[in-house]
Amino acid sequence: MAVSDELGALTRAFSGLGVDEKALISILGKWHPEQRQTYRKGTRDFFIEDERQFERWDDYHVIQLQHEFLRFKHAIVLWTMHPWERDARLLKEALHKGPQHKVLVEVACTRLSDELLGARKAYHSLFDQSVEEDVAFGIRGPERKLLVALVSSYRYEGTKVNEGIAKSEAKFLSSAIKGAAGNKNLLENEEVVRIVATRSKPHLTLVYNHYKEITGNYLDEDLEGELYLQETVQCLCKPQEYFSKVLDASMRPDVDELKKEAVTRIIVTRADVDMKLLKQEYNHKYGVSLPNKIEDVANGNYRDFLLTLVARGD
Amino acid sequence: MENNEALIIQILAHRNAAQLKLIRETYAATYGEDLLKDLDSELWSDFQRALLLWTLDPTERDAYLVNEANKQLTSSNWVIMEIACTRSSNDLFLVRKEYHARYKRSLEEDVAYHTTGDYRKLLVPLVSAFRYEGDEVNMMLAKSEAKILHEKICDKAYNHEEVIRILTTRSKAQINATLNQYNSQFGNAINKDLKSDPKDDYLSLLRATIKCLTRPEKYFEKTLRLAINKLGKDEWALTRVVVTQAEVNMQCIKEEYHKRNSVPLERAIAGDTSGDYENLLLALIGHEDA
Repeated sequence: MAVSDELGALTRAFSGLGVDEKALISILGKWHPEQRQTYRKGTRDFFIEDERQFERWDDYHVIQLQHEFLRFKHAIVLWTMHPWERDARLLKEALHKGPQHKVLVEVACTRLSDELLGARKAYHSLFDQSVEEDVAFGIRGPERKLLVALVSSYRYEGTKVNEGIAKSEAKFLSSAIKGAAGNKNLLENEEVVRIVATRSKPHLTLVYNHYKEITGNYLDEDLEGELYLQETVQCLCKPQEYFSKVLDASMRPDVDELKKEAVTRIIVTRADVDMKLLKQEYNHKYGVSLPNKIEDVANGNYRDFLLTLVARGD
Repeated sequence: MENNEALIIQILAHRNAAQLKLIRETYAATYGEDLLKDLDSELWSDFQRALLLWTLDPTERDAYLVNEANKQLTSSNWVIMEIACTRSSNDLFLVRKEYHARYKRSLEEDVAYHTTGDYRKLLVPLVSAFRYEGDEVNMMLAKSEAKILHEKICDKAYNHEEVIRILTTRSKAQINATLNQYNSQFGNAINKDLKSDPKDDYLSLLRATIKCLTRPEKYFEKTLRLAINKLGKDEWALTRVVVTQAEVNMQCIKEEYHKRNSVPLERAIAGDTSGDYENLLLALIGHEDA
């Protein structure tokens, strides 16, 4: 490989999600000290000229590199974990790392009822507290009541629904949304919270459909700007679309570390659940296949591992 | 089957939950119908109702009681609170699972749908809780949450989010520690400070919630006492408490009753009831000795 090609390949090996271990070995491994110095001098992004005349690794980038090297490890550990422990840890992180309260919504609303119960049990074991007491204590804003209710839910999972009630709840939501127009305080509406936090998913799907019939709009679109309510409805009624959206946003260039972690989280937690549907939805929405997108943005072992998981259900 | 109620009492009252389950299964296999047909008949006498409830297994029983409470207009909030607060975290979850199977809806959606205002604010989180059950206590938290409770009570903000949060999410051990702190910091037991308006039903429920979480035997003693003296509004309290506590906490409740009323519970029940109903109740409260 020509030198300039090697520099390009090395930069690529360090860019994106995960690192290209093979490229690092084959290129860096054989470079003599002068070649490495040329690299340092030529890569202003990663190295700064120190006042004492040497090229120093930029601290920020070393930290970034650490994340990228560990991305594969993190994915493996998360994948091997019992799903209950996995979800309990994700819930805890959502509260403290960031925080990322939307992940609370994601876990609480896209798991089966018994899976969420399992996560609550694991939470007791891991953290000596209940998830609801942590969520209630750690969140002060108007979203507290909704989030506590979501993590505490144990939704009915059968197919029996009450058409009449679904119709009236759709009507109610339609007038509540109209009435709140622009004020963005639907979270304070007890009835809205009651409906989304306690009704079964089949029931809410019926509500979603009736809402479309009544208003001509999609419920989640009308909830645009409503903190957490939009995500709640999407996760409960159209999870694959929700996951596709989050995945795509996380794979854009120059997003922060927390956003990048969504890629591992979503692929690991959905691989055994609805990966086939997720891929279809992603392709439909973004015009590119999920595996191709991952090939583009991820490197090395991390990329290969993700592709293996994504291939499930084929 | 001949209606020989003394025999029925003799057979059923002295069996434990596992044996009752076997009896019901055998009956169904032999006669092709459930021993307990038509649970919803309002014509059931006290005796029949007690027998029916006793033969259900504890999880089914609690699910049935909550569902019934949702359909009633009065006293029902108390039944829901009682079950939510005095069962263990795992048992409460089993009730929620049973509720799915029996009623094809979730327990919390029904409670939320059938309650309003402050009652809904309190009861929905109570039935949805999965409290940590360890003994660990965070003393700093207990101190600060005691302060919060006191502040809200002084402001008469009895339905405040923080009051609800503390009572509906903290572990029972943590709540106990918090209330001890409350007492030592502010000189009064919290329930004393919550007695500002004796006619306020919500406040009564709040006090009862606190009692159920920390001293359930005292709560059950009082409920029994009111029922026996016909002072409560809860007409089925006697049946419910005896049947649901028979295999659980009856010894403790009897001791508490005797201590408080200077008369054994057996004598009080015998004085207030008669016939088959009396015999069944007495057999049940003596259950642990049988």
